[in-house]
Amino acid sequence: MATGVAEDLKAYLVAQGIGGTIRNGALGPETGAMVGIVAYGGMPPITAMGSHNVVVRRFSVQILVRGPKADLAAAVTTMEAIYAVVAQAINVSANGHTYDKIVAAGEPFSLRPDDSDRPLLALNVEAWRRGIT
Amino acid sequence: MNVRLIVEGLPQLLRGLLLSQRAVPLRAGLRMRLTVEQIMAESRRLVPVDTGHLLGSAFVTQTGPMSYDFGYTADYALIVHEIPPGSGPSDPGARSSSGGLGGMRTAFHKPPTQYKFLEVPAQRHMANIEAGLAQDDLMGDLGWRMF
Repeated sequence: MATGVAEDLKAYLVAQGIGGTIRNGALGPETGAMVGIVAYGGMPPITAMGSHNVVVRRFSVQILVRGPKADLAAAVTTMEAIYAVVAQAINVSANGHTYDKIVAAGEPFSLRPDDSDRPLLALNVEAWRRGIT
Repeated sequence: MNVRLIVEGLPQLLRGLLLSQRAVPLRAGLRMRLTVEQIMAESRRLVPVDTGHLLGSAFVTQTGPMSYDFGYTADYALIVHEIPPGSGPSDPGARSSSGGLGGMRTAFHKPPTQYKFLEVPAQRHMANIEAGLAQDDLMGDLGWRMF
């Protein structure tokens, strides 16, 4: 079964040395720090040959970082580590897919601490996957 | 034996280009305005409604001949826009936007409302500006048709 972009991005982050719990999807009920990867659509694909062939699929992905209770610095450190490997990545291979590029759609931003006073940061990225697979 | 190559229609092409040069800025502005209104019309259907304040804060402002700002002025718009739904029915946070469940910060929105209520329609409609200019306007001026 083909893997989704969120699973691919998770595999890429792990390969790049991003540690801790990384969840494919929104943040879960588990306690403590966590990274969540949510795919939420994207731009229309780039096509060629009279618009009949999909050359590149353009996914939009949200990366969420939750820090330990009342520890914004830890969340920022994790987010910056993730930003460093996704903001300008090219020719990324993951789970048999090739991504021509992965780029940040903006800067990381805060979504305010949750009710347990855990800081929550978000970063939106675009992932351009080669071919129709 | 010989081969003759003839380019026909050059005067018509030049006339078309001249026409396009004059018309494109106006058409681009109109097409952009139309696209922005389409984005916001779709976004208003997708934006979560509780008190109606967020929906009521939708705006479109023309900031230049071919420049528009659009979105929502409510100070919590970004939070509602960016906090995703939970992973499913087994995920308790999926039914709670705040409090009581460890503060997971997931948000359930009654369909068709959803998070990313502005970005998703914007992505869907943005490509129409370029495609519309290239296929409908410019090709029309030149008397060509895409197939």
